[in-house]
Amino acid sequence: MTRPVKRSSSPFAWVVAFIVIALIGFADAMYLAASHYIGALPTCTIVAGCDEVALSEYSTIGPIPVAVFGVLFYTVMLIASVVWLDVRNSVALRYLPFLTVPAFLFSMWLVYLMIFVIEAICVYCFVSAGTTTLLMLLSLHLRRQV
Amino acid sequence: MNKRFALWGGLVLALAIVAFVMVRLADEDPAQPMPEPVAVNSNSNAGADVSGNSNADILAPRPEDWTKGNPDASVVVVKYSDFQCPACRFYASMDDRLSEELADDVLFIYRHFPLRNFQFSRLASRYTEAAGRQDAFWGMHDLIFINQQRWSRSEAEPIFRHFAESLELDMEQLDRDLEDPAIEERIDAHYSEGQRLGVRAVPTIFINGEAIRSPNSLDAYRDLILSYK
Repeated sequence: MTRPVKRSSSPFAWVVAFIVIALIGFADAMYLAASHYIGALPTCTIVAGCDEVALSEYSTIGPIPVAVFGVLFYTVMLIASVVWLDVRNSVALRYLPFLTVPAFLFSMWLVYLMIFVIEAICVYCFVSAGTTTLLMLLSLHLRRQV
Repeated sequence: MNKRFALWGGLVLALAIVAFVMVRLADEDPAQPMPEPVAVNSNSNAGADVSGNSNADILAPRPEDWTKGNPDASVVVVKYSDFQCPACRFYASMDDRLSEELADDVLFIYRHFPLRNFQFSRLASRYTEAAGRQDAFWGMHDLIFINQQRWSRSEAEPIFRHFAESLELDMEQLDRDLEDPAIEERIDAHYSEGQRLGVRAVPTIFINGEAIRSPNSLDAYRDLILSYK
């Protein structure tokens, strides 16, 4: 059995990458969630255009902003990564795709809504779609590695 | 044990720092800019009538302003707005409600700030100005905002003309006014003044000369206005 020998060293860099990307996603989602709750409505700016997406009915699921789900998702991703760094238990990484794949599909649905239904672009939402995609790819890779 | 503490402590710290920074950014980003000190050479295309004015002068009601409410009110709300901006549509409906509710206490003033990244903003401003010459500024303003989603993704002008007809405007007069460079100059003057005041986003609202953070609900907006009474 050669696999266990490779296990202990190689995933480390990937997990660090996973953490960095999850932190970027966390920051992005936290910004959107904070913008939702802090009060001021999104305005249209000279530089960045208009945050029409945040004004749309699709920016929330019931009373909860989509961004809050993003914050929770990235937090869980970070906790799972740190669990692995802490106890090096592969279970923490093996089950990541059960969250990252649905999150990726949900992100794609949001991108579809943005482009074809709301017909407006939200830069922060694209950042989140990007980080979710990368996390899914990394989690599938890690699942094979551990 | 130390490693474990460093890992989890580091995670908590990282999340706390990121959350703190993002909340601060979100708090500042949509905030309306405070009026900047008047820069003498800041805008070459500012109208001659405003080039020497202070920020307070710019924000004072003028006879030629489009207003709703009581001209002698102690509270003056000046709004720099764009007809194609969805947030402006939201605020237009709130202003409409509040101008009825608080008609005795407040004077609402509309100023143009057409963003260049919207296709029909300036055209909409021109139509409202031209309609204003036939005493129908607010009628055109309301129709344009209420139907914003309809015209902003299609050919806007035939729809604006339809609005003008429904307001029973003299269409020949309207066409002459639409061609009048004075209308364009007036919109430019509003825009330049807005820039001098530090307007970077629409709507930007000033109450009694003070830039405010855009309130997120009718109740918050009403309370804010009343706090200036």
